[in-house]
This record gives sequence, C-alpha cells and structure tokens, in this order.
Amino acid sequence: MASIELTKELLKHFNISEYKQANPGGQKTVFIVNIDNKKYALKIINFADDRFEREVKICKQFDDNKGIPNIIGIEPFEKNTIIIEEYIEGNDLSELIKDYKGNEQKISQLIYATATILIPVWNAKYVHRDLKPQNIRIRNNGEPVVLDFGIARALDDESITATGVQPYTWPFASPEQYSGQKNLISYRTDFFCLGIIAYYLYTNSLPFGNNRGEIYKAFQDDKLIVNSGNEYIDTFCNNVFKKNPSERPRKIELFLKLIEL
Amino acid sequence: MKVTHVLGHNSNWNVDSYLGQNIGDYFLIIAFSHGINYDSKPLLKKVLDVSMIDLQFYGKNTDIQTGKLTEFSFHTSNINTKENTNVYFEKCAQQAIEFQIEKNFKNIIIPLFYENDEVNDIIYAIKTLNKYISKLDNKNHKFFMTLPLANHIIIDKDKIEEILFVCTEMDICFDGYFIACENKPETRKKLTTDIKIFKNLTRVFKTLKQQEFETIYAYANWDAIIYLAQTDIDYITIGTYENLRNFDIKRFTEDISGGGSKGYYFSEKLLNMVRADDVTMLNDTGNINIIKNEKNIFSDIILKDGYPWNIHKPDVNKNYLFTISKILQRVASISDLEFRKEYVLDLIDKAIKNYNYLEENRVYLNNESSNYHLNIWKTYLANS
Repeated sequence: MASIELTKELLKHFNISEYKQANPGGQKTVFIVNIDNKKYALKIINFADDRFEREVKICKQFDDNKGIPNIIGIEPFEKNTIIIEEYIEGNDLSELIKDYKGNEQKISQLIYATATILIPVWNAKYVHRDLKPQNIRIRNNGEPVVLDFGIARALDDESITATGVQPYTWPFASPEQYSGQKNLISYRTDFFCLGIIAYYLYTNSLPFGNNRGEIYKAFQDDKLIVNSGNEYIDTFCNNVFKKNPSERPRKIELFLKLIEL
Repeated sequence: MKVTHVLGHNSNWNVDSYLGQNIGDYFLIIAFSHGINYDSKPLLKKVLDVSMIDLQFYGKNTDIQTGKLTEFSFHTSNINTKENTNVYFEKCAQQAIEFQIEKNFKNIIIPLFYENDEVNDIIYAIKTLNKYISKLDNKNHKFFMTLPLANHIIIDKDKIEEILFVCTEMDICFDGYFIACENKPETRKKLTTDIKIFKNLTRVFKTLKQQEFETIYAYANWDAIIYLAQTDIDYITIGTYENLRNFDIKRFTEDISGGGSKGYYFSEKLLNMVRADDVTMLNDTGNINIIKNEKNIFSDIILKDGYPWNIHKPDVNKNYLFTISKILQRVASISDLEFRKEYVLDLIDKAIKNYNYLEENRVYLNNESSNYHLNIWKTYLANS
C-alpha cells in the first residue's frame, strides 16, 4: 500500500499534531491521528456515496453500543468528506490470531461477545456482510469492537448494490455471497461468517480453501462439514456452516447458545 | 403425528371410521365441499373440536369450479374480474383468519391466494400476513401459513430455498405451515417418481421442523411415508378420493374430474394401490394372500370372491384409511430417525420381494398397480 500524506491544510484545520496511516478499508483511507493529545481514527472519503451514508447511519443509530465505534464528527473538507471516529486502543483481531489457536474457551468468549454487539444491529434488520478479523478490533481489556459497516445492508431497503456483483471479502464470505444471491443475505450470513472466524482462529487456517476458486468449489457441495479437531468448534461450525441460510439457526438466542461453552 | 382425515365428498366414511374403528386423530374440513354451513351438519358436529378448515384460496371465480366456496363472503372465488390487487387478497385472508377465530378453530389455516404464481408473490403474502398475525398477539390459537408448492416450485431447489428462507426468518410468528404440494404424477401412475420432488419436499419438512415449526402435510398420498421416514411431521392427511390425496392447482382452476372406476385395493404388502381388475386376477390365480392386508376388517370384506367393486363403496375407501393410518402411526412411533428410516426401507424391501414373487409366479401387474415407485423410493431413502 502506498503511503499517503495528509495536507498541511487538513492537519491545521483539524488541529492534528501527529498521524499515521492505518490499514485501508474498502473505498476509504484511514489514519490514526492525534488531536489535543487524544487518538482518533480519521477517515477520508473521496466519494461519499450511499455506502458511506449507511455506515454513518448505523454507527450513529447504535451510538450507545460500546462495541461499535462512536462517530465524533463528519465534515466536508476540500473535495472529500472527513469522518473523525473513536479510536479503539488495542489490536485488529488479524494481528492476534496466534493467541487464539487451539483455545476454544477464548474463541467462544470472543464470538459470543461479537455476536452480542451485533444483536441490536440484526434486530434492526441490518446485516454487516463483511465480518472478518480485520474488522474486529480487540480492546486492550480483551473486549471486541466491530468495525466497518461500509457494506452493511438494511434488509428492508433496496440494496445499494441491488444489481451486479455483491461486495464481500472472499476468505470470510458465505455461499450466498459467492453465488450473488442478494435475496438470501441476512443476519444468518453474519452467522456463517462468524463460523469461519471461529474455525480460522482455532486452526489458523481457512475452512473451505485458500483461494476463491477452492472456496467456490467447496460451496458447490450441498453439505459443508468441517473437522477442526475440536468437538466444540466443530459442533458450532457445522451448525452454522449450512449452505442454505434457512437451515442455519433461526433465532439469535440459538446462535448464542451454540457458541456458549 | 396426527393422522388427519380430509373431509370432502362422502365425509361420513371418515367420521364413521374415526368413531367406529378409531382410525385417525384429526380432521381437515374442505370448504369446497362443505361450505359456510359446515358446522350445522350433524356429522361434522361430532368432530368439530378436533378439526381445522382449509378455505382453499386457489383461484378466482373466473377460473375455477367454485363448489361451495362462494358461500364464504370473503372468499377469493367471489372475485369476478381479472384485476385485483395483492392488498385485496390480503384483506380476504385476514377475514378468513377472523372467521376461523370466531368459529373457535384451535388451528387456524391462513389461506394464501394462489394461481400457480411466482415465488415473489408467495413471499410477499408470507411477509404481509406474518405482520398481521404478529399484531393480533393471539396466544389461544395456532396459526399455520399455507404453502402451496406448485410443481414448477417444488422441482426447483433455489425456489424452495427462497421460500424457506422467508419462512424461517427470526421475526416469523406463525406456529407452523400447511403444506400442499403439486406432485404431478405421470399418466396411469398415482404417485410421482421425480427424485427432485422427494429431495425438495423432504427439505421443506426437515427444515421447518428443525426450525421448530409444526408442519401439516395436506392432501398427502401414501408416499408421505418416505417423508415421515426422515423427519417428524405433525399432521398428515389421509383422504378417500384421489382429489383429496393429490394436490393439483389445476383441480381448482379447471374441471379435471375423471369418470367412474371400480376402485382400488390399497395393499400394505405392496405399498401400492392395486386396480380392482387386478385384484380379481390375483384371486383367480391364488395369489391374493401376497397382497392381503392383515387384521383389517375392510380388507377382509372386499377381498371376498364376487365382491361388487366400486369406487363409491365405503369398505373400499375405509380399507385405504385403515391401512395407511396404521402404517403412518407405526412409522411415526419410532423416535430414532435412523431406525425409522431402516424400518421404512425394510417395508419397501418386503414390498419389492412381493412384487418379485408375483412375477416369478407369472402374475404381472401393469400401470398404477405395478412396481413403478418402490425402486426409486429405496434408492432415494437409502442414499438420503
């Protein structure tokens, strides 16, 4: 990734004393900035489309949810839109996967806590659609925070990506995302993705293949059965790894019960 | 599992067999046959507390034989124009629900207006009627949404998933589903042999049960045993005449009633209906014991030499009701699904052997009397 410099005008306008570029997230550029001796995430949106508006809407709607970052401010600057967001001290889950290897207790707690954050989101008929270790930040006290609702979908609205390719991150996507069946996307898509994360954390490998082609091929089978070597992880995963979303847990409580150790 | 009589034409056979021989547990009243005054009929009064009613919203007045359906003021069969909105059909369905509540049915069948439509129309109806039921906040009744699975739907696994997906969403508040499936058997066959239907219909029952819904298999034929072999089903209907055992959208959109018939003998040993003429031949060749139902008074009567066979004879129909209800009850009583499947496979094996024995003795059964279905049942079940 090429590093991007913030302009002097921007630094001055937002009173930023220090900054560094964070991992890229889809269509936005993210910086960790220091304003008045406090760290924030600063996102530069080059083109503020419906996805951006949706992310802002979701974050604001769930402002009191400790597991979703607070938005401090949104402001147009020059030709871009700038979001200043709560900075979560800690690490991306993707940096910590070795700590979870073989530890079903820790994985259970993490998936349970992540799902608990998402309960009000799912109940409000949103679906994240892009759950992956890079989008789960672990606070220093171990609590997770779910990031990047950029491709979240409101199930009651016409999707912003109603036609054409549906966005997803290939290692952590569900069969309905691979097959582009938009009408089958729901909270149960997130259940499937959380299953992949659980398996990935336990084994440090992906359950259905190491590239798009392998995973696509695996998803052609009607039955998706995995064997991680751990009975608890397998029971959880094989209950959510149903190719047909209709066969995955119907109620959030059932999903939580499955992951509870 | 409750064996459920379909009360259509000649309902007295069903009620008599329930009261007299303890056949069946529940009743499904057919609006087409009984109309608005069903509850003033002395016969039906005897079983009203263990009954539900299918108001059969299948088609408009302009397209169907309406029978007594138009007696219900809210019925879609009263529609005389081609153009009506979904909102209108929803109102009809809501009134149908209110009607059943007023009449104090414990199980409410939510009718779904249906004319062989596309999946989106079904989904729309499920969603809107679910909203209506959720607002009723009625805990005294059970609500069953009708799923009329036309042939073009049941053979398509993607269409089935689209419907199941909506049926199993977290905010669905129905207690269960009333499933009617258009099997479309081939000519001179009574059952389908389409493996796509076996697979997809099994998935419908399994998925809904797994998601803790109650299921009613309406207008079921005796091939219900292969679905019951794999999952619990809460109600399975048994019917005398063929139109009560074979859901067909066309039956409600045009008159396809057949002519007279001498009738059929349902044999538990062949798992099939045998034509009356073939029964005579089996009698003449001394092979009747190969197909004879055990401990069945109706079977004993109709297998007597010289019995005047006719489709409208009560014993002919009661033989079916008694035999199929015994088989269904036996299958359902096995709680372990693996054992249950093995039990049904064993029944099928024995039936195949009986067919083979007949052929070894140079008795050949044709068309619907023949073994056109058992091999595919066995293959399907053994590999499912």
